[in-house]
Amino acid sequence: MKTLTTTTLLVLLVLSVAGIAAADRSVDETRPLAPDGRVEISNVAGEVNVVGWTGSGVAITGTLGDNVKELAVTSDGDHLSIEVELERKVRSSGEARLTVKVPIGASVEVETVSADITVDGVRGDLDLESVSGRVEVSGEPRSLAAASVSGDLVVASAAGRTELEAVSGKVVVGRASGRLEVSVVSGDIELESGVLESLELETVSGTAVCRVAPAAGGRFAIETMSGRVELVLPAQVDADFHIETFSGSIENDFGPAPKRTDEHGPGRELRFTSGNGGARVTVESFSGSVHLRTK
Amino acid sequence: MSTLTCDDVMERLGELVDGALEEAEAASLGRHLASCAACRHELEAERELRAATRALPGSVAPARDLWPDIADRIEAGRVVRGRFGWPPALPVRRLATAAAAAVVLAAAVTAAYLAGLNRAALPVADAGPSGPQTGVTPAQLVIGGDLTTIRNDLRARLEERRDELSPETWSVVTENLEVIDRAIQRIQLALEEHPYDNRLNSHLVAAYRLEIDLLQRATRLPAEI
Repeated sequence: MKTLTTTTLLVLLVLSVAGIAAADRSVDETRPLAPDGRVEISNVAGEVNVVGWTGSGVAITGTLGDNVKELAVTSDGDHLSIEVELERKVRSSGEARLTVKVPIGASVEVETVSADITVDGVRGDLDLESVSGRVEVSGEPRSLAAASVSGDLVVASAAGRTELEAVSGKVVVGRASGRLEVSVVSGDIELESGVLESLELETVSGTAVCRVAPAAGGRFAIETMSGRVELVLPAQVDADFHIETFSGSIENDFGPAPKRTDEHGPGRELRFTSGNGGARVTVESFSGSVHLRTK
Repeated sequence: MSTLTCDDVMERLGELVDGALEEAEAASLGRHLASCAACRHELEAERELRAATRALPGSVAPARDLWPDIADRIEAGRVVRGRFGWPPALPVRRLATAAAAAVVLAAAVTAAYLAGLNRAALPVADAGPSGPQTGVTPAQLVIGGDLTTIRNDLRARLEERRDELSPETWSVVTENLEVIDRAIQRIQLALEEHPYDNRLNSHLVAAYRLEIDLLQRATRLPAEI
């Protein structure tokens, strides 16, 4: 009886290992691509890691899980398409984990459903979109457009033109410069540092904490419905401020107190100039509170 | 006149465009504008608003002839096919542009209408029988009809895709639509008390735009199931 049990276990083990081997097919392909070429990647589940490298062309490595039909790669020199194709009946249940090395100057477009996306060291244009996957970018792309529904968007350094759009996902930017647009519904926003030529930010109920300053002559336009907005700025910032709320409170560390906009209404308005002025900071809020803090 | 700040200029832009400023004051604004790109941008926006206002018929109703084109596109269900091969969706980019234009127009009409209440000189001052005497707010006049059609159409399309989205995604989308709807309701309630508050109209237009943005995105999400 004991021998039979051991044999059964061994058979099961062998079958199991064979099954795993069948489920995780490895990928290792290289394709030519111009140094400033364009790469498009689509993957439903798993992960997509894109890395800028100084090597020639594009190198694709990783694994294809069960229910993945094939990895379709097509190219024409300037353009490369990488698509994870699933078995027709299973739609989104097949996972693929890919690492794609691209020329540093390439532009990259990635679309996923639940797969996480990471991009590091690519200097071309990035267009990244996921439904529930986390999107994480490091390096300094020429431009960045990233969107998610519930996935977080985490950008280490935003330079040039950056557009970030989430629904409930959190948006975090480590260091910001250039022009930045952020839009969320209920997700929170954290802009941790930097000096921006322009900032356009809108939130419905998410909290926005912005520790970024406007460049000389820069322009911040922030709009919130009910979300709290906190601006943390250098005490000597040169800017003209115009803060207006319908019913939200305004707190100002820079000195001047807000005024009521209507003798009988709850509205508040605050206009003042800090330093020499020049940059324009406007915040419009329906019911969200607005806090101006000094660093 | 002492050195003007941007706020000083902003407050006078309307009068500048109308040619209602004294010569010296206009010259002072001109000097500021020559050195301030942000204020020049605002001046241009003010001129565009006035031009849009002048182009409107002598009524506060939104320009309906914008919408048949949008409606045709919705009916045609032109395909934007993503790489995942998800089902036909609205022609997102073009519809977004058209809807944004419509919302901008709605805002312009609202602003022009409100301005018309206070400034008889504007061409839209002829508020007609739909004016404030009826108890209908300007925002309700503008955010009616066709925008509602667009919203309903997008919501219907989203409902059709319910079985293709994961329960988690469906939940996030619907919960956030509710967040926006609650904001819209609160703004509308505020408008009932303060019907001619420009800020509320601005917030309302922004909320509708966010709602349409989210609906458009949701209707083109890749199928998950």
